[in-house]
Amino acid sequence: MAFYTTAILLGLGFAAMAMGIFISMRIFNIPDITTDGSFTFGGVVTAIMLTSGTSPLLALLMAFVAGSLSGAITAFIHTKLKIHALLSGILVMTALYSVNLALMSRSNIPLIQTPSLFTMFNFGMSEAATQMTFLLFFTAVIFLFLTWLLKTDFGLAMRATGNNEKMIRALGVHTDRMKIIGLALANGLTALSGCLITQIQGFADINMGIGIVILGLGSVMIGNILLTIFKSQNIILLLFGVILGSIIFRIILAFTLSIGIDPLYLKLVVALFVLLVVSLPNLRRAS
Amino acid sequence: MIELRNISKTFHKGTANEIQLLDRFNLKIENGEFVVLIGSNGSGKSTLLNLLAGTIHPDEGEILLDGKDISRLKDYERSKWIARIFQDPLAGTSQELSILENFRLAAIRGRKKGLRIGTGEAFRAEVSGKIAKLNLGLEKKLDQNMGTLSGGQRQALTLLMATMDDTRLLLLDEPAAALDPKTAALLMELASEIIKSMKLTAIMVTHQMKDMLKYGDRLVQLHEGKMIRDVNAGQKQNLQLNDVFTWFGE
Repeated sequence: MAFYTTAILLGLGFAAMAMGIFISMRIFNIPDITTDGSFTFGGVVTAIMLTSGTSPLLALLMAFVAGSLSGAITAFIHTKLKIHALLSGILVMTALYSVNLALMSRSNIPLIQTPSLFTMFNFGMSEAATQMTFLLFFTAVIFLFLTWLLKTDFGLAMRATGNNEKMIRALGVHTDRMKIIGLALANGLTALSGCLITQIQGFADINMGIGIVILGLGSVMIGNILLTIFKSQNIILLLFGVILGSIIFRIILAFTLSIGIDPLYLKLVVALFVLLVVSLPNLRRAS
Repeated sequence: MIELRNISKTFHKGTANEIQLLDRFNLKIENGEFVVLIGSNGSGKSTLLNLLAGTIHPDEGEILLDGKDISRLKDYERSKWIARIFQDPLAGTSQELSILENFRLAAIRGRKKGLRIGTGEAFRAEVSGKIAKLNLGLEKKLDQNMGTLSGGQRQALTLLMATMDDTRLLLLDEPAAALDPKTAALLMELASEIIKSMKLTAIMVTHQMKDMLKYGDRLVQLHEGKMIRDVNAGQKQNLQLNDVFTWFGE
């Protein structure tokens, strides 16, 4: 059972990142893979700040800032220097690898006996209960924030930017700036996940971000399936589905491990699972 | 008043594909005038519309709107005063937003898109009232995604959206070209009615000869980047289909 509790915890921890991918890929329609770098960046900033005795809340904030900066740079390269979004993301992600390594000056920082968000908000509960409560609360706050944001005039302009750029420019929106803000927000959220995961697993690692983007993508796809089931196009339902997707993803991985599949094959399982989720709608149409 | 002064625009300058679309072009349009712009392909009509909208900028010359030089302003900066209807009936709306949300964005075309929710009851009632006049029954579907509507419905809504904010110039680029004949006729009527009733200054590009005669109060023909004909309202009334037909044969 503890196995699945951990899976849910991780799912919630990765939910912010999945919502970030939802913003870049679904709202803005930009294949942004800065994610692998900005996720680690968030984790690295967190580990450095926590081990030097900074408040976990400040570390959370700084992780967000670090991630936002990464996303803004990617979007800047993409919009102002007219480089393909995919390449822009790869460039920033690659550069961040060195940045992260330089910041840590080694490949791994363990968090032993350092205060964390979970020690801060532990109200006499067990470790798992504290983590669960905090992560549920945290995810709910981000969910509600985005729900609100997407309904504001700014949010509408954001959605239209990804959907019909020609139209929204004619309606007076500076789309380049909009994309920069959008990718900053997306990668800020991703870095928040990096911050949380670092505290859940108790260390930051230079490789912790590898393949993260596919987890986010998979979660968004699961969200999409939810929309198909409910025959809805409601963006809020989709966002909720993305969070659910993040958790389902983790549970499936936990299940895979529990039936004795060698962890070596974990990434293969992830890839196959995402392939299945992505191709499901097409398979159904074909038959 | 909108005024183009000595506008020149060359594409692919310095290459083998160099093409000069406008050469020291001048045009003055009074407020409230509805200009129909005609000309064969490559005559510079679209270039003219794009120059006015700000998606491209002139190599030389000035564009003045009510005396203010707007030549260097970007498209999203000019949109404060200029609304645009595209030829593609799907291009003027966002398919993933609801009808109401599309109208909200149109209503704040010239303003900042800030962090407030503007799709409340009062706004809903306003939009519903406007849309009801179309008699398409869409006022009951305000929360439906734009993507679920037909091209004709979307183009009609795009027209209405153009009137949601202060519009000093309305650009229509063959607004009905992609629609079936019946829907196209309805749309043209709607456009003409809106332009008249709101006394909008408008420029419409069309290839439909009967539309050239039926709509607008001034007819301007372009040919290879030059204005070769400028027909005022009085002369326009006496025009026959045959006259226009021969113009294109010249």
